[in-house]
Amino acid sequence: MKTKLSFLLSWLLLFLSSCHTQSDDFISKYCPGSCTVIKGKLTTDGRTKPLAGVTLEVNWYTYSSPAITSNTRRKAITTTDANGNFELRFLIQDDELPNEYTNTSYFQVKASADKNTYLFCLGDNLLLEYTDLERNTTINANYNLPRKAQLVLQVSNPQAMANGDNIQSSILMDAGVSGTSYGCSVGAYLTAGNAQTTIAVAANEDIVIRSVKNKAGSQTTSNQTIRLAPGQVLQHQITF
Amino acid sequence: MKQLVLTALLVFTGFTIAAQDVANYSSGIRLQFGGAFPVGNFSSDDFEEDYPAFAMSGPLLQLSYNRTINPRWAAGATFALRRNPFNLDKFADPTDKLVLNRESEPWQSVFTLADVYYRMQTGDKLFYLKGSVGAAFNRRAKVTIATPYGTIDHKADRSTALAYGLHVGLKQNFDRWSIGLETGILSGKPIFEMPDAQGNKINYKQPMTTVNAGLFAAYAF
Repeated sequence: MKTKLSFLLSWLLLFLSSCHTQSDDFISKYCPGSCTVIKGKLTTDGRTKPLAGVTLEVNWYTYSSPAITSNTRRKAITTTDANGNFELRFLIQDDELPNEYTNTSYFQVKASADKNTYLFCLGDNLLLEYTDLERNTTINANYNLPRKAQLVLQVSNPQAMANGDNIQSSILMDAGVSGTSYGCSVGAYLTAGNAQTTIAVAANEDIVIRSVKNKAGSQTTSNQTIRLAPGQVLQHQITF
Repeated sequence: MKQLVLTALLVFTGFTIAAQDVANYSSGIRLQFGGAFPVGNFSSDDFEEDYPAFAMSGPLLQLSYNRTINPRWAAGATFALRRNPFNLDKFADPTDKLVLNRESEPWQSVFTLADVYYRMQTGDKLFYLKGSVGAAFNRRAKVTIATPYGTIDHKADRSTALAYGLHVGLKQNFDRWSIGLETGILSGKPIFEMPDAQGNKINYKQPMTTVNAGLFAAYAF
């Protein structure tokens, strides 16, 4: 009986402490001063084509543990213009400034673009993430959001792979903020038992397939540059 | 509002005075007071909109004149004043540490409308359908929020726009005097000007639609 009661109380406590709140910060949206500004140009197809009419939103997230509570605060919203330009302007509140608990709160910039069409390297419609934003700051973020294609990586001769042999492939793509070469990298690990994998990659721009072959303790690296069309599914064979 | 409507219904059913046919008189004036309840975009507090209206329920005062054309039809004019307070609590929580001071003035519309009535009389009661069209002189809600980092100042811009309405009503006649209730919508879509974050002036259309309900007293002559 006592055990059942403890179990019930535990669940009740867990239920009561597991809550998520969401709020809209209109004072931030109409920032009166000391604003934080994230601005730039949103493009696709290797930064050649502006993305117009995409809604961008800044949210501040915080969570506490062990009580499973979280809070989302919408801070700013805008839509890219005909040239893909955007400016997100918002006011950071005191509890959103970096502190010793910074790892439990962060700002995210999300885009409304279709995630089946565009490649979000950071996942779920996420463009940018910050844990240390300050007031009176301007961040320039010219961002490439590639269209999506599929790359099927296959080992053409898995029977040649012994136990412990593998291929570590990295797909290097220009996605994200400019100024960093290949801002997006996706990895794959191929073995004799797992000789095929499918990866979402950037279309309409050059991508590099970097393959590191580990055979009996020795490594060989090869790079190959390819370009896929949006929506294309390409089978790419790697010979071990 | 509910109490007012119930009271009016009681008055309708309680009176036993034999009333004369309103058709005996060719003209009438009436004073109406009630509530205007914002609907659609006018009541929006959507973060995704550039300038959500945050309009709340407010008073609607109407002064009308009408003249009988024939037993079924009448025409007239209405002068109306509608005020809808801005939902300041939703915009800036009073407990927010950033808020040092906050104030607002309501949305306001002054209507001058031409009315057409289609009427059905049964005994001393009159049911009517009223269509209206005219001009509305609108004023945007003024909002001022003072914070330690500056002041949000949304000024009270003014704009004139086409306005229209559609109402139904029921009237109980007592010789020259009558009382009644009316409900319907009043709408318009003025264009207001707002500065954006860079100080550039932006024009935007603001639908201002309310569902109205009110009581009136009328005098026929």
